[in-house]
Amino acid sequence: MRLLVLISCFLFSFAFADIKTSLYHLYQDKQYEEACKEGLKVFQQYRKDEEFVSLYAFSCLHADYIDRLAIPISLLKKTEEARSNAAYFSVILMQKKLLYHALLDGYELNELKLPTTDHVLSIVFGLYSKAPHDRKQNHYMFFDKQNDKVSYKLYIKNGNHSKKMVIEEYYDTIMTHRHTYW
Amino acid sequence: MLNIHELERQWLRYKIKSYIPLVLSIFASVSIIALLFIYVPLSDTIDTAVEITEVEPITAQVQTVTKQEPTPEPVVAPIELNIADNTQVKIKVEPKEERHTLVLKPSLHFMDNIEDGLTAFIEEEMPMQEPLTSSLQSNDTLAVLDDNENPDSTSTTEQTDENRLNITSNQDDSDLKDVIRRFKKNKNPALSLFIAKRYYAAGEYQKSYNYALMTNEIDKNIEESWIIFSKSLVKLGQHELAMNTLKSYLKTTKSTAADVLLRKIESGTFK
Repeated sequence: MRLLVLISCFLFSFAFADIKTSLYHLYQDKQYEEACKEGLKVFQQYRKDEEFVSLYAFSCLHADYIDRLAIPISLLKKTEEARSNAAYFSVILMQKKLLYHALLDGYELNELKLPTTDHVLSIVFGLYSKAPHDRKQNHYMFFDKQNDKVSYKLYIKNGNHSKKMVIEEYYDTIMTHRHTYW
Repeated sequence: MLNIHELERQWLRYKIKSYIPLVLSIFASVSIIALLFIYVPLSDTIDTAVEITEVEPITAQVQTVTKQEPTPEPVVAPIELNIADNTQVKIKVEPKEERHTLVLKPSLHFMDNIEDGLTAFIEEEMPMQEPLTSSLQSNDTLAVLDDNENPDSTSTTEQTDENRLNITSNQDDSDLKDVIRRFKKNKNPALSLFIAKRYYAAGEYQKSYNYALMTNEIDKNIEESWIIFSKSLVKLGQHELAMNTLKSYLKTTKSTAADVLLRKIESGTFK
């Protein structure tokens, strides 16, 4: 019986290491969407492992699945690093929600003074909140303060079921990334 | 007949005149007292306000000492100026209007633990494998293989050891020379990166640095080249330069490998 428990523990740890390893490799290979989806499949089993949760959360962040950060935010709390990352994720999530609300409902962001991050959502949030909103626009073009060749286009796209917020990153008029949030 | 009314009027005038010096003296004294009240307490409050602002971070004991023995401080000049301006608000050390926005950054230290776990796992899996550098120094085993390398040019012998397949090569650096010749001809960054990796694996860090630098000059978007470049710099004892290189590279990209390497150099785990 004892041997059986030991073997099962060994197999469990081996399987777990394998999942984390595959997730790590997917992340390193920049297959963020795949890593996020794989992580979601086994999330409930490994939700107590903060390394796994962090890896999953960063994968989802890079794959633009921002809403999936909500659970990692609540789970990352044991270590200083985990808490730091939870704060980082929560700022991005909040800024995404506020920006979406502002674009659809005209919510004023000018008065808000929030922390910022290096994520594109934070950059666009900061630029949007400082821009004048005298009249409603179909799209907004923002230019990066540090690099004038970099610009961002922000607009709302009508989807099948819901309206989607789109951020397009441009470098010298060439679109480099398109992020879609809803 | 005495004109009583006229006498009374005269008496009144006289009485009023007799009171004038008294009233004036009272008014003067009152105004002097008022002025004293205005100026003397004002200077006191300025002093205390300054003392509070200056001594605030210090302990209470130090505060009492400074109150008992007021020493000439460099804050005297501003106080005098402020008295002259008669503005108490300016004395206060106002916080800066433009507060710095808090910038949150992701922490990827947990990646190190995962990576350490992976390397430990690989070492456990392959305990028979010898270190790369020693195997290359003996020129018996070609440890690094790349797509660019021509498999036909190497005479490989396959040795099967139970379940493990070992590919060994008895050839020396002629293949590397061939790659260098090809690189000089077509300036392909993939070839220079391969050469840099080979030299790095062989422990020839100066050469690996040179080839990684060439690769970066041809194409600055190859992550692996920047990693080899920084690693070579560390091996050559240029830790600061390596860290600065990685930091500048991370400004333009979100390379996890570069970030992990930077943190390893900073923590001293990569030497």
